[in-house]
Amino acid sequence: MTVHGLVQIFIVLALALALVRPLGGYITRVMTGERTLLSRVVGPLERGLYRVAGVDSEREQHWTAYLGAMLLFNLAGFLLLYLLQRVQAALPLNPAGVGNISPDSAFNTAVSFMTNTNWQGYAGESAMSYLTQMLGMTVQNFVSAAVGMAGAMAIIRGFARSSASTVGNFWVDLTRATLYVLLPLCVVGALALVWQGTPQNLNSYTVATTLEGARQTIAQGPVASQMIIKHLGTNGGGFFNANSAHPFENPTALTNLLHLLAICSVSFAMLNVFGRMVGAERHGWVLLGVIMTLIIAGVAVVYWAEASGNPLVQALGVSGGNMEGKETRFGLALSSLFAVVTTSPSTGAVNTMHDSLTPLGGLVPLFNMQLPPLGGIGAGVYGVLLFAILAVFIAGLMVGRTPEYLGKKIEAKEVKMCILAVLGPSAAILAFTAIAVVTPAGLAGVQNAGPHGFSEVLYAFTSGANNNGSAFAGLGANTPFYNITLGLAMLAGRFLLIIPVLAIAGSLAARTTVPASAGALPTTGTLFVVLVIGVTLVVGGLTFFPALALGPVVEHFAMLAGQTF
Amino acid sequence: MRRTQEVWHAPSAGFRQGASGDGGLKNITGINVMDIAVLAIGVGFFLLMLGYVRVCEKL
Repeated sequence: MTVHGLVQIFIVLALALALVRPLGGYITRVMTGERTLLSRVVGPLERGLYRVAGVDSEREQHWTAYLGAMLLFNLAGFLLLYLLQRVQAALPLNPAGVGNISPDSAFNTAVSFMTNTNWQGYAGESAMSYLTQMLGMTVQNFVSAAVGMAGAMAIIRGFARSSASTVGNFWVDLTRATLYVLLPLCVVGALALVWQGTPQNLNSYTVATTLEGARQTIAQGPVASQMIIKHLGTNGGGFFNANSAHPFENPTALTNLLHLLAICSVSFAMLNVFGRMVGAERHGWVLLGVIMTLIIAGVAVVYWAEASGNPLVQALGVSGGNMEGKETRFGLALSSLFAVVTTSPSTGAVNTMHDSLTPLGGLVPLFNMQLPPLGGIGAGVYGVLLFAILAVFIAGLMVGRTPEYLGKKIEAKEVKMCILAVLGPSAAILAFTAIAVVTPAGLAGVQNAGPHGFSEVLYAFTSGANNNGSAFAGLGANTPFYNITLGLAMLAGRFLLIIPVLAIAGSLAARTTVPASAGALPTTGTLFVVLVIGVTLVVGGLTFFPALALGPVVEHFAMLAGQTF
Repeated sequence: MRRTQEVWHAPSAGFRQGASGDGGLKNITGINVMDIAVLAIGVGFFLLMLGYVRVCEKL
């Protein structure tokens, strides 16, 4: 670990925090229907879309109707993306002449992008046409992120409203999040990436002759427009197989900074939106404090582990930290920071190969994903709110405090829904991992022996079911078995979380807000931050410690004993 | 601009089948069991989730 590296990490996180209030204020105005700078330009388009779609923007929905609209929209997105992949060879904008995607892979990818997970079993540059990348992947990057923001807005309204029967209008939230927030930010961000060298064209791949005389095909395409929403929407699906480690996706140190800021910007700002809408920004800062503490602790462990390196490699006379799988232009510090930031806010983009992290370095991203998403654009908001509700409830049991949060009594309904939301994705991760490691079809994809191979499988299902999408690599996952089981894990992870969350939103909105009583637990101080972190770690630890012990933990001790896998 | 137009027309030179491709719906003359199976899984899951909404409403 170097001072230079620590300063880089500090600068990135400080810049991310500096964006929270301005962006939070803007998004709040957008999502509450106030006029903004863009209203004059975007307003007519917004109203035109409502007219075409027959949406009454003034009419709000009960949480079940809100959820029904969300499910319908997602089903349509799934079917369209599936069809697009299955017939892409017959469609235009396919200069590389790629063929149609197989049914199981198309299913996996359609589910993945529709659910905002963005797990990729394919290599973008060799499997997808430009039309599929633009009309399929990029569009789903926008709308799946907007769906997440809509879900977050619903639960925020649940806390903010009193005795209300509705939680907003899904179609309005979806439209406003896309038109006023994501699109404008992405136009600016994509231009910045193009300025730094990220391609944005529809050209055929360039065939070049290298200095050694070999022929090399250089893939390109409409990359910048997909890159920026990949991060802003906490999606993570890359244009190229190497994702943000690819020199076209992430050419310079400045684009790396932009990638990191894009991941953090809207997702952190959404917690400021929460604070503003419940009447006190400090509530948002407290939840952001939880996320920042976990990120800083995670970065400290990963950076330390990677800087310490692999003692077996060092015994061969190779000095320095673990640079395997890392880009030299990013180095240890920014690779470690990226690995943690991408797995805490549920993004899944990578600028370093997580399979090559040291066992403890790899444990942190894995454990980050095993907690419900903390800090993503949508799921991250309700992920941290679930744990805040659980913390209030557990504190009530432990010290006799009245279980209430922001003037809402936390009753059996909310606690049952919280437990369902935590158990659903966790059960999917563990059950599918267990199936994969005892069946020939599952074991056929594992390319490393022992605990490292187990980690690859556990990582894949964790990433799929908990809305992340990053890959540990080393797992041959583009097979019917993994495409379908990971697809099911992604569906379970997304909807077994979001449905109970919206049930909580509806329940809380209907409840009358009461002034905080003397017996209520204070929820704006350091004590509450510590309590939420404690509950998060205990729940995550109890659920996944046995599995982690079989993977990265035992691999770490084996490494110290001189054995690698 | 000229190059872009060429790219637009490039596919007309003939479609290749990719490494993971099976010809897709274009080449299907009968029922593709795998297509139906995965679509049934997807649509079935959404129907199941409608039931799950009712469960969460009742709890």
